[in-house]
Amino acid sequence: MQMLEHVCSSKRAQMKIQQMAFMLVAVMIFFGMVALVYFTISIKGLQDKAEILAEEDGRRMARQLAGTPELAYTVRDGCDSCLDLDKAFQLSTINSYAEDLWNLDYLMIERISPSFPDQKCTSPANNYPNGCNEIEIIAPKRGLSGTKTAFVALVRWDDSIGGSPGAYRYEFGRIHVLERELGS
Amino acid sequence: MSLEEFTFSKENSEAKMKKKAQEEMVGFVLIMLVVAVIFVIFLGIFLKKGATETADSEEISQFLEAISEYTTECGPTSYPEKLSRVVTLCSEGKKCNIASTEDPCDILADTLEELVNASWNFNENSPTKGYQISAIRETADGPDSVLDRTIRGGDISSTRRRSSEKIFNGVILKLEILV
Repeated sequence: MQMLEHVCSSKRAQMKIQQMAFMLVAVMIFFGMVALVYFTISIKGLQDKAEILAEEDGRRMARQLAGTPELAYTVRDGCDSCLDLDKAFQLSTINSYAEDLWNLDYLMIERISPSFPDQKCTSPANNYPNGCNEIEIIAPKRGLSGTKTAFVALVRWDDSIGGSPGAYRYEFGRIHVLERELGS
Repeated sequence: MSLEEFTFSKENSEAKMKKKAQEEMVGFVLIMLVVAVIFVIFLGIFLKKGATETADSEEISQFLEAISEYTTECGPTSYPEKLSRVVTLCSEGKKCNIASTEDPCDILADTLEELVNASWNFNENSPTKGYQISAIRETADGPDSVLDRTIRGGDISSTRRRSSEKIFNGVILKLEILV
């Protein structure tokens, strides 16, 4: 009889251990799935944030370029976002100077507003300043994917405002920059 | 031990087992409930955070800085005012030019609309869906809108937005781009 009781009790204990093991496995799977969902969502968020940060970094780089002495508007202080359009245009006419100066594959200044005809600025006699909207300082060396842009204020001398000598007119535009590819 | 005693002992033991099993089931259900409640709370917080996600944007900040100097059509033809000055004229209720009836607030709204539409594409297929601009001045009675109308365009139902603001002589100009 004692033997029978011992066998029954032993079987029950085994069952209990099995139950507990299954329970633990089920709980672990449940927590694992919850963790998986959580990490999937948070990693997606991280990827988005990384892309935004890289984009903003590019914008800052493009903006810094607008602040270099070759392009910056330095007639008055306090306008960090101002780019001298006349300087930029002159620079675009000097072949290879900008290419040697900056390590870039593309540099272009786009005039957004006021709107001008969709043309490259070539010469004052031809279409600058009132007949063009693109000043290409460095012509593209490769495809334009990966180009970074930044909004800038474009300043140029305008004879039609400010009385007899004229005055500076502030336009609105964008600087497009493509960094040189590694190894090229 | 007699057979009756053994049968009684077995029944008693089975009843105890059942009770224990029930208790364990109740415990397990309770644990699952607690875990589910915690999960739902976390999910709620996460979804709420995503519902109205507004992020500061370097791009919009650069836009607002670049347009502050923009030469507008407000003022005499030979002496046009800058956008930052037009914001001030609008908030002070002054005119662009003594001789004309041009309202700086109308010129401000039109210029902002034009600049935003020229800078981004707003349609279903583009990453930017719509925009909203507000110009608020802090007064003793609380915030007061400087512009008569709300400047908005595109699809403004999106809940994710990037924004930035710039202060022009006490007026907070805020641009929100919906993505």
